[in-house]
Amino acid sequence: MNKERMLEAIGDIDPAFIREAAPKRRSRFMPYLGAAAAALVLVFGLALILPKLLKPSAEQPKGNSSAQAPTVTAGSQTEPSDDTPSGVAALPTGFAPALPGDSYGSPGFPEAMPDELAQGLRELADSAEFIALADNDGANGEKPVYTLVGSIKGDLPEEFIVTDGVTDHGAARLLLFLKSGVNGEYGLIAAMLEGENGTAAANMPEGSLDAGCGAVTEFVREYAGNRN
Amino acid sequence: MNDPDIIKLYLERDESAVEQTKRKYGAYLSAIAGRILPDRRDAEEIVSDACLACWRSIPPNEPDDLASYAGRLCRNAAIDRVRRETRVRRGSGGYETALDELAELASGVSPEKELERAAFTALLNGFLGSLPGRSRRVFVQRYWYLLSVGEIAADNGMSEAAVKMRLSRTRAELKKLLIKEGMFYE
Repeated sequence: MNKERMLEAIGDIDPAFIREAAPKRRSRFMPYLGAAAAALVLVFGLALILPKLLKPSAEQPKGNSSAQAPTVTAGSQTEPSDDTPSGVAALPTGFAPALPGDSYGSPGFPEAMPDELAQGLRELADSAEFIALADNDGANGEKPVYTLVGSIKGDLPEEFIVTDGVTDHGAARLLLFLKSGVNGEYGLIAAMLEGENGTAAANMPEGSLDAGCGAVTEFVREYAGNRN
Repeated sequence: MNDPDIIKLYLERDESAVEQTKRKYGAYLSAIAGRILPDRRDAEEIVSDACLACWRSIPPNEPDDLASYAGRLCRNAAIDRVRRETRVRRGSGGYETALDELAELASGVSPEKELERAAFTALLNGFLGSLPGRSRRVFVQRYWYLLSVGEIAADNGMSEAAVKMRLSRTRAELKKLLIKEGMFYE
């Protein structure tokens, strides 16, 4: 038997052996994947670390939150991550709302809170109510989570900028921005999820009660109350 | 489309069977042909030939494993092409070096037994079945897929030296078996 014939004969081996030994498919881009992954890790790492470095101290005097809070300009979007628990949207680390006042009713706050809403003069087409979830209403200083009953998309006052997207649970993600009145910038005040059944969760910034974000909580409650 | 559906197309003489085979296994077949034929155009031509060979041979054949069946046709066609076209540059693919490694074994198998290819294949199947999984995989990758030693090492997470050693031992064991079965004459 010559070597060619032997090689031919090897060609007739059991198909199971052939399948078992099939070389793994390797992308021609494989050598670059490691570098790309490292670059992604670096980018995401910076995105997580930088806000913490820039975060204002919680001991700073109240009333300065608008000047120190990270803000976004109109039209830009800050997407929460998709790895948060179902029904709760993530807020950027170190987020503090760009509100001019530190509590509801304080000077400057009406600029953010429309009078007609605050005074119950404005009727919205769709009734809605924010309900703090029983197991986390923020009373213990934890991040309060709210549930919105009814549709919120499309019937918010014009002071709000709402962006939407689709989460992997099939719910619409709403990022709620409120005009701060400072250089026409918009601050992110809450990230919300609106489910297919009309319910939604609003995720308040972590440590909101300590960082002047209680105003946001009150504002949302008040806003929701005025919608009824 | 799964294999039984493609086979059914062949049996019904539906010409789309060839296209479906190429779509599903084209990359796999290209990789096999590419090991033997350094020229990419030759390899692609062989893939088309292999798909047509499926068309010509199914029916009467009705393979259980279409990938292996088409792969074998592709491999054989590529080897035939190398033999026919001596102008094809040899040595750059895995074919020539694999042949050299088999030369010692092949020279010992008697001419009388040459016609008994089926018997040799049956013995080889039994031998491969008795090997440890990794040794079998390395052997088949070298002499069926005609991968280079470096490619096998990368695919199995081994060093090239380890691959060479394993191949050498496996060939030695196969030689012992051939002697024992009276199929090898020194």
